[in-house]
Amino acid sequence: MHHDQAHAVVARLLTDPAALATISARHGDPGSSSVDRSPQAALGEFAEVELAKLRLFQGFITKIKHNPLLPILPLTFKALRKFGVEIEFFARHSPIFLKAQTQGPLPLQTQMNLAADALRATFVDRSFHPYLCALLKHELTIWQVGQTTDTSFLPNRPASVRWRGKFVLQRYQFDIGSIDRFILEPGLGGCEPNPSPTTFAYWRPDIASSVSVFEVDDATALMLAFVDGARDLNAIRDCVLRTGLFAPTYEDIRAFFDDASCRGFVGFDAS
Amino acid sequence: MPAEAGATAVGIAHCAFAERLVIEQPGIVDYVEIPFEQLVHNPRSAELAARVPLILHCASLSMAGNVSPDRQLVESVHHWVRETKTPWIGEHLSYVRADGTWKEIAEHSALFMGGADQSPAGPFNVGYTVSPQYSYPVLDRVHEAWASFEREFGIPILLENGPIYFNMPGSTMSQSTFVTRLCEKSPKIGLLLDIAHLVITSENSGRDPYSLLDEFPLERVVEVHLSGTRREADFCWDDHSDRAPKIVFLLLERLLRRCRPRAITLEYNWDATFPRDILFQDLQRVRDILAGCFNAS
Repeated sequence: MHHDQAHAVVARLLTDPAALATISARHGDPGSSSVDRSPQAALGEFAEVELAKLRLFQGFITKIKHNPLLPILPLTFKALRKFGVEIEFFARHSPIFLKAQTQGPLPLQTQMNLAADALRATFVDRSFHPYLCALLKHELTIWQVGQTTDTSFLPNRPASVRWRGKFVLQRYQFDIGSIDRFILEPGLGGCEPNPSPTTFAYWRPDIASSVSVFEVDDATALMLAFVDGARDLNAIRDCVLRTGLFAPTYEDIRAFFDDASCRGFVGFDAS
Repeated sequence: MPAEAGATAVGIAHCAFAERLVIEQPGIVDYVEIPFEQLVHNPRSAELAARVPLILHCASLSMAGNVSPDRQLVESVHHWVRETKTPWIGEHLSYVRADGTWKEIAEHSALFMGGADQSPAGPFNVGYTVSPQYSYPVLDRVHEAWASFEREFGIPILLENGPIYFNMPGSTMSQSTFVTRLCEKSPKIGLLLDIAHLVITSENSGRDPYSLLDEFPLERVVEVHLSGTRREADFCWDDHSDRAPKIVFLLLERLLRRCRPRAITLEYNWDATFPRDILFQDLQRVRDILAGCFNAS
């Protein structure tokens, strides 16, 4: 094959996943008629095995273009590597990614959203998905809390309890710490992640850009869940009582939020 | 750049933590290799030159391709050559863009009919370096491009071997033969030997890495790249987010028994969270290998 034609064909196939899929399907279909197969002569020396390699190379290129996401989803990407599906994942993701960036490089948020959707779909396909979905959700939450600039925590009323920063609660069916350890262990052996429900709080103070993550018990999670910038202490207590799970007194609630205020999580004027 | 004749500098590829590293630990590296594309994206990266010498690397000249970089790109490279005071430019022996309007493309337009979308006639920009067809016409093209860019920029252009992941149709020689023939065409051509790429090529083609190394004109090697590799889907892949495997260091030692390059660059630049302790260990490992090869006498 002429060098310019070879370069152009490869460049076309690497930038057009649909074309690569079409050509690969024709190569792999022994029932194709001679008329259908005749155009393949133009690819001549490109055997089926080379087309499969090209598809993986396309995935590899897409993977490299996702390097900016590595610090944001470190363990999620390590999980792909651990299970030996990293290149395959990005090969599958290439059509969506390449189509999205036809007008130029994607903003990080857009690239992240597309990758997160693709990761969720990948994990759902596999037996290990429950804890990988939890891990992805955990890492995405850290990033989103760190990025957010919303002001939903601002008080509507002076007496309301409001966040002093961004605060998010997430409940998981797995112990995130055990997932971390499992992913970081070499090989596929070792202890499977522990299926024990946990609730994590993610907090970014007003004055800091870093996100703190800590595990909270059920009672704490319940009380914090009703902080919305509008409810005061009495309204929060009413909400907690309606759940039927705990029966705190007003003094219990007051002591809890005084402590949370001292720690810098919330602000309120209870005078 | 402490890389006079008879000395070898040890540096790193530019990464998210490069600036902090050279501020916090001056002298830990002799230079930082910085991509031209990084400078275009973030010109402030060049401020690093106040603290440590820079070497310019490039992946945009598409030297084996038939779509030359536009004038603006060439002038931008020239600008950064002056700004960084780089002793040379390392550029991939590859192509990035291909002219889809080339006449015979019409033949394979037929291939895509009725199935895939009809894409525009090009040029196609892969956005990544692709190892070219290894043939005499491409050899002539690369030589011409190399000579032209050396004249344009006034400094040496080192050619870097790429990793081979698939067989390019129409190749009539191996990569090592191609590089050897290229060096025979001009005694001035210098090489940037990426040992991880060489390992990848050897693994993916079932070749012995030591004999493959020996096939290259090692006396032309001016700079060396070291990085990680990783196996997946029965292939070996380039991986700058992992440390270089043992074979890379063994090949480095073998190379240093044959020649003395002026610079050895650790490319651990894909992951901003790459462990510093491993970077320091491998910088020391490179220095130990250099000392073992050149200080013993």
